[in-house]
Amino acid sequence: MENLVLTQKMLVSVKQSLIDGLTIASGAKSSATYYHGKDEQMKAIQTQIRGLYKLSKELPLIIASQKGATGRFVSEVLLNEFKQTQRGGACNIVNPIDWYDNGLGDKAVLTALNNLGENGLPYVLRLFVDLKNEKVNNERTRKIVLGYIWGQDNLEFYAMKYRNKIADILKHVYGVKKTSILLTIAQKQINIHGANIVGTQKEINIVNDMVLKYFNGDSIRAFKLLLFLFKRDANVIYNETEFPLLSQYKIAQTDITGVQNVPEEVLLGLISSVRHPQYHTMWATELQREATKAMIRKNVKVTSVNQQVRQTKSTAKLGVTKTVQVEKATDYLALYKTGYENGWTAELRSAIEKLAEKKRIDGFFYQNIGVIVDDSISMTGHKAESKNTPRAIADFTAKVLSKSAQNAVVVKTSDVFTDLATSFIELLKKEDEGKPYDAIFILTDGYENAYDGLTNEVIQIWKAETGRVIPTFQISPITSAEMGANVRNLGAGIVTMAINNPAALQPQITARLLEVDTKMWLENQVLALEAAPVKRIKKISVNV
Amino acid sequence: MNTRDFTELLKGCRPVKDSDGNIIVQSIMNMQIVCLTTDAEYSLDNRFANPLTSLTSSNSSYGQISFTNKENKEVILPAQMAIMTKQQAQNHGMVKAGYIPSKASTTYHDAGCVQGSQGGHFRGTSEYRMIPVTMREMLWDAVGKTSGHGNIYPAIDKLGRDTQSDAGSYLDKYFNKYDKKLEQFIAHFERPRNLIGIIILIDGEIVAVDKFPSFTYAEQVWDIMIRDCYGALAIISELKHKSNMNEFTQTYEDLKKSHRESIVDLLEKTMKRTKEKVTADVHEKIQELLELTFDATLDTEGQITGSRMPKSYVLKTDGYIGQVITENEFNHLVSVVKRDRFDPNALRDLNELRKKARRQDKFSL
Repeated sequence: MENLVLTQKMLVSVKQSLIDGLTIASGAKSSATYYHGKDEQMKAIQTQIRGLYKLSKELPLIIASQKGATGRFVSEVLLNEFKQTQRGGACNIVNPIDWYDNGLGDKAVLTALNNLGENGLPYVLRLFVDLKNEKVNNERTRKIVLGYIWGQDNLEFYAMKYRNKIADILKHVYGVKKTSILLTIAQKQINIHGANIVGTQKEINIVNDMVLKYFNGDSIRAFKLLLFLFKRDANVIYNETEFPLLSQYKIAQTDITGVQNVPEEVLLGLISSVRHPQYHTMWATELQREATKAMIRKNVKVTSVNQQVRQTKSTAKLGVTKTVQVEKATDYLALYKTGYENGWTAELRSAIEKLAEKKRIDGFFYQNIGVIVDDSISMTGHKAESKNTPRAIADFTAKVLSKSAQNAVVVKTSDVFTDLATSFIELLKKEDEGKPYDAIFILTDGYENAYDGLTNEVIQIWKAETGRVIPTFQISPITSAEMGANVRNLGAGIVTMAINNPAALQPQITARLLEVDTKMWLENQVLALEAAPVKRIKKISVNV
Repeated sequence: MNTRDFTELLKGCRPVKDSDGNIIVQSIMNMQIVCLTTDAEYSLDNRFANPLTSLTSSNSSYGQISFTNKENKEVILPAQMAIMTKQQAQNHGMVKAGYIPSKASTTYHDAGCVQGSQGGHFRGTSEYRMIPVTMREMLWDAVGKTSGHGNIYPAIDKLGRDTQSDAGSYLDKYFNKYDKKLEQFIAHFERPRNLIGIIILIDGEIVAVDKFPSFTYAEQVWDIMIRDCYGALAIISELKHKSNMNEFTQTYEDLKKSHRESIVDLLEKTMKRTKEKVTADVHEKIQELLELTFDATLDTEGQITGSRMPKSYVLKTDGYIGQVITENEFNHLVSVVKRDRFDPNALRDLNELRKKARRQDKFSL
């Protein structure tokens, strides 16, 4: 990589934009919260991204590649990027030779896309659907979409679970005419039970160019998947060895009893159709529905552990006993909410401990930290939010922080009211003189009940009297797209951050630390992008 | 006409306190809230239905509101609800609280329009808001006035001036201007479990007291009361650039002069002293109210009456006005506000004089 081309003059505005961008990226989401409407959130995200892009086109992608950037933010960055031409926008940070010719731009897009995929496939599919809605269909976009979808290892399962959505996306990318051609070729090949493609050279070229270039499998398998996605599979045979899932789906179309490898929601979709042969015996009345739901819940084996944890309450309501391997869950919100709402078990606690250990921040900046957790009623959330979400975020973040630092003292507010000031004094009393705090984290929505500003008064007096300079972070679990999440700040000198996941902590802290040496921080990010092992497709590296 | 002592109106209630016995005072700017609780046996949780979901309202002429209770439980109508509908109809407001038996309907003719020149009558709606607390005084003064539909206009006009919302005779203008701020305002205050009532103070003076029929009822109306009703006080405070008192810092400076302890011990001591002081101030203000005696006038307009049913009384005394829904000396709902023009110092002087009078020996030779 060549040196950065960032000028000193630009450095100032880039620095502030980066800080703002990182703050928003780790808090931005599209759903309404206590304080923000959905439209306001979206507007704020889009404005921020447009601003960053205008300043320098690499900035949004660099931020979207950070761990902890929310799915919504990454999605909007990519949508914005795909809307532009590949060479549109100004490269003011990285040398354009690196960005365009040496493929750094491509890597940045793919790293961001992989980052989005870590939030779950639905996020990526939603982005691809947005591309359709925004009528974005340039060559670069097409190749990235096809590479991503056809490159999925578990495409058979996703084809079943997100059938219509994937079909819509492919139809948009291929276009109506080419989709029709592909399906015709597929049908022809399947009908002659072809082991290999026997077609014209033109047909072979089309299939190679549009499918096989991206797909890790033989052509017959690809054709069968295509025909399933586009509902042209009436005469297609899916045998159990090659298609363990789709073969079960075929059975479920006439008989859902005993089906184990089809997702619950897909089975419910099938049986709830009046055209299903078992509709009148299994779904027509309330009683039948309850019994069928219970049967499905009991039988289905392809439900993810996270979903099973989230279903704890409804599973019990359906009268089904199901052993869930909670220690395999990766969704901390699901674990916490199950605990809050259904009672804590030793397994749940242990699963959370293990998950927090797994999520610990490597190379955390601080070693001896004090943590205050607001445990007041308002942390259970507002009606606009999912119940207990802020509380779960705060509790888990405290745990992750404790595991990330060498020494941590955690204090919870002791009453239903938010009395952070008293907790701060309690934290000071518990400080080990041999290991003085090097940072203090206050996890709260910021609404003090004692009187607003009291905590700040205490902190300021303490700092002034002791002369200690300790970074004090207010971490709000009420996330939003607006700057500072419009979260009520405890006071001057306390850095406010809004996060919806402990993973967002590091970039938020980074955002503050990059003030020290913005250029060095940027250089490190670009080097990380350069080293990222990403390709558009797994089989072939494609250059536009 | 009969009388009601303030001590009697709030009997059974007590302020929520922390583990050190201090009254918990929640604050924002110059506004404070003290929550009241009671013993579980005095919270009639199963008797009354949710007032915000059980009632549908309609009207057929301006200045009146009919409510139909569709539930099998009775409903206590909170003080001064407004119907703010999306229908092509004129929004209306109640000037008081009410009582509606299960599966019953009633019409209040002393209601008022809250939307100027808008025409039309609403049908079967449950789109309720609460009228801001600063309007309460003028509305209770209009209880029983059934001529015309303008009972509430002067209060909206005053609200518009106080909040710089240019409301005129349109309550929706005020809400439209401040809705987002008001929504955020809910987050400032925590509702403790077993809440039965609230005392609101501005600049250290009690300006409103509300007692609800049950813990459940308080939970049902909490958000809307904080947002719509009490929120106006915070809006006005903000416009007047009021702020809190930095009580902690002041106390710290006082204690610092003679301290020998470590800084952490001194902070702890200061915190304790600060809480005690805030408690003492509030305690003193509540204590003053205990001397109040209200004249109680039976309110019959629209209220369904029967010998075994709760009754409504309008309460008036020097400086305060309000309403009680009571049944066999059990007060289901109490709502009282300080009159805007009233200076509590006058009451203080009066009380002082009373106390002196009590201490004086009878005339003798």
